[in-house]
Amino acid sequence: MNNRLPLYGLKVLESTVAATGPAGGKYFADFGATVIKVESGARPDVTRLALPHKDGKPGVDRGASFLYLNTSKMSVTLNLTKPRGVELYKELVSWADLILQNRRPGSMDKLGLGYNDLRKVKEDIIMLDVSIAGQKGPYADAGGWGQLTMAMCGQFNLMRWPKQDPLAPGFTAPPDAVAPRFMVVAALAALDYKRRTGKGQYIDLSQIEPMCHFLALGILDYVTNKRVQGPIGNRSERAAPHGAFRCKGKDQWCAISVSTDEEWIGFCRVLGNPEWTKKSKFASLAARKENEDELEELVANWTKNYTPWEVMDMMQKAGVPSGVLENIDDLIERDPQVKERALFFQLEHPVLGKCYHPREPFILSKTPPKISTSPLQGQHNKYVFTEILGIPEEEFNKLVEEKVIN
Amino acid sequence: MLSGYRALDLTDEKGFFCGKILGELGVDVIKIERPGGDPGRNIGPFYGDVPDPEKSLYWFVYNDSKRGITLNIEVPEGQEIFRTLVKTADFVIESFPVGYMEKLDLAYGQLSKLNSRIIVTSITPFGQTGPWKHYKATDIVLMATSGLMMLTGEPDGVPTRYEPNHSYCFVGADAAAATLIAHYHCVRSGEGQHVDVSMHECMARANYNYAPMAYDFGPIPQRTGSRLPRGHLQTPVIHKCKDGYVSWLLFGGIAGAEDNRRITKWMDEEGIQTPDEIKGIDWDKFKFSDITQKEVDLIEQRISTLTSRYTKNQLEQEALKRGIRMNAVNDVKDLVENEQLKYRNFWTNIEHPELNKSITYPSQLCQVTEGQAGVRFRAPLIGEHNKQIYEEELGFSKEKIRQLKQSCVI
Repeated sequence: MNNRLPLYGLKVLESTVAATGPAGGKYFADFGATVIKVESGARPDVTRLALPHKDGKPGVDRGASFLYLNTSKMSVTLNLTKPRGVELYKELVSWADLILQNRRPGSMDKLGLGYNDLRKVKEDIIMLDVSIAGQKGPYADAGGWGQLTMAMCGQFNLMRWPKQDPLAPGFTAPPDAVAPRFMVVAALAALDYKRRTGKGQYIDLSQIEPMCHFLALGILDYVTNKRVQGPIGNRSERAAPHGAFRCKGKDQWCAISVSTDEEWIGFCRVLGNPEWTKKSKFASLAARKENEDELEELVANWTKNYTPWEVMDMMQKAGVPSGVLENIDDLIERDPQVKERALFFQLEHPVLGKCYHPREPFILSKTPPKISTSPLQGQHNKYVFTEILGIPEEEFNKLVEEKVIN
Repeated sequence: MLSGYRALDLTDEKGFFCGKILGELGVDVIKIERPGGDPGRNIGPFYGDVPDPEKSLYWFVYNDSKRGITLNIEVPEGQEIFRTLVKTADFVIESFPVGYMEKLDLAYGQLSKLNSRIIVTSITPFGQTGPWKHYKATDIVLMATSGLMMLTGEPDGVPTRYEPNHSYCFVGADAAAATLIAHYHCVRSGEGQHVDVSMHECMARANYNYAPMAYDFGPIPQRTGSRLPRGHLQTPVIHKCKDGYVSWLLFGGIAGAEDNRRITKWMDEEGIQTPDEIKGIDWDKFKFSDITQKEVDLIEQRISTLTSRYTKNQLEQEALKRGIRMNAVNDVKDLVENEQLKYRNFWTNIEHPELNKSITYPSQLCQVTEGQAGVRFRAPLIGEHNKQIYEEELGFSKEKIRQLKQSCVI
């Protein structure tokens, strides 16, 4: 433990599964909070079981996606269907400053571990529950997945080209990535509030609601102007050319975005000021918007002669926002900016071996994070129960034998 | 929740969202605009479709819960006033090009001499260091370099970005989180610091795990249209219905068993034929590794037959009743009418007296039992709080204010 870590001293009890809850807890752990993740030995976290596995062989410590979401945390396994398991959980609550949860709404209450139960254990506890739609209401019990959240919050409807089907991106569900940031913000605000007032609280974070803030411009346009925002693909009302353009090589693309007159002049200079750029139909943003199909064709005719890295370099040197459409190899192997700033680095895991991990996407000048690999299932049982809770070793062994600690 | 703290917000559209979040949590966020108003006010759409710096809906939604003053920090007199304000502040948020604040003698090193507790959060396209530090970016450039765009779209089609502004909002949330992590440290140690937020890194992290995982374990994901890769298979994420789309996902193992049983029962009740190949599947034992793409397609065809019979709302309501995880692909109108958001009092009316109108805003960031976390008041008019700050707080005389206005400092 390092007291130069910004969240040093903060004690977090994490009762989470899948992606969103763990991703929020990861911030706390990487920045120095002591995070104890309570797992069930009998029903492992789905990310422990999900593909991909090391060497294709399943196993609770062989699942890759758990690895990325649970760095720097401690893992304990506790059987919460046994009364003694519930008691031990409450002892962990007494220890903690903050509880992070994302179980199905109501499921912790059923175990006698809801907010009202735990307030009796520790009156000023802060509990944050993150769920798809919130803890109560007509949709609360439905549960769901990141993709369903995208459908509900209106995101799918916009991720597409006019008159085409929505494009649900393959590997990703943005709301699952958005909510963890709000977990951090809300929990840290609540901790500060408690420090000043002595009051704990319960935070009910719905994944849909922060996403609605992302889409708030369209919402305001609808409530004031009665216009229902439609999809625009890669285009922009405020820029042209604005899109992804095919470059030299197989499936190689570069984004170019020209908003101001200055950027247009820079853009034309990079192309060598060909005749077409001087035509009146491209002379202003309004004119370029009007002739955008033709414009895009002309741009693509130029970009196809260069690699996306060359296009980005030339455009950026002329002051034009531009970027390679990177794939995963590019991000980890080729992107010089990522490399220089060491966004990815390797950690050794006892079962999975040496694996790349990302640090958080910001650098705190005086208090950098300290990231260690994710825990094996129940790896910290002995430390947590005997050292932190002070249970005698004999009793601990008995609890293991009785499968309370499983 | 965070009343009593103050943030000076110098950001442009790339950083509006960070200050908005802090403001909604109760921080006294003072948006500092150049005299004449922030360029962000020229971004549409506009209230009533009238282009006017006081009617930009873009400005409204990303600058609520902030006060606003005008100040020219490019002239020495303006810098002096800014330094005075820094002494009263806990946070400075800025999104200028790398090196700009330093040129004005307002970089973190210089500000921390005035206030050792100050936290300066800098939001830039690619971060404060590295070979790309002076490169520019807009939303689409960030979506491109993040790796997200390359995965969105049909395999042989154009890679496509998410909804406009996704990255600016996402970065704002990360910047707010970073600022509060630095704040936690400051409260404990009395030490402020500089927070370097790279928008590129935020977006490269926007997918919580795929980049390193795919790199180390494979396979490297590809664009798959609106289908989800599941090992050697792909399953659709959306299904067409009478008036649009719904989203339903086939899952294996315990994650899907209940859902699969219930939707099968529904389809049976609807009299939708089950092809022989997929008859009698035991959903408790169903695994993607044991099934072929052809069998998956037959399952999904049955689902499509079901969804094509109803509207998205009919399907969503019936699915809710049956405990099936299926949702409508909503547009903004559907959102505003959504029963869950209404139930949670998500919407709030915010007064805009100068428009003689109250406008419905998405309100809470989350529900809290202490304090508040949501829109508090509308975005500021140009220089709306100059009087409060310069006269009432800093005690400038009317004469001094007149002179500052004349020389275009405020």
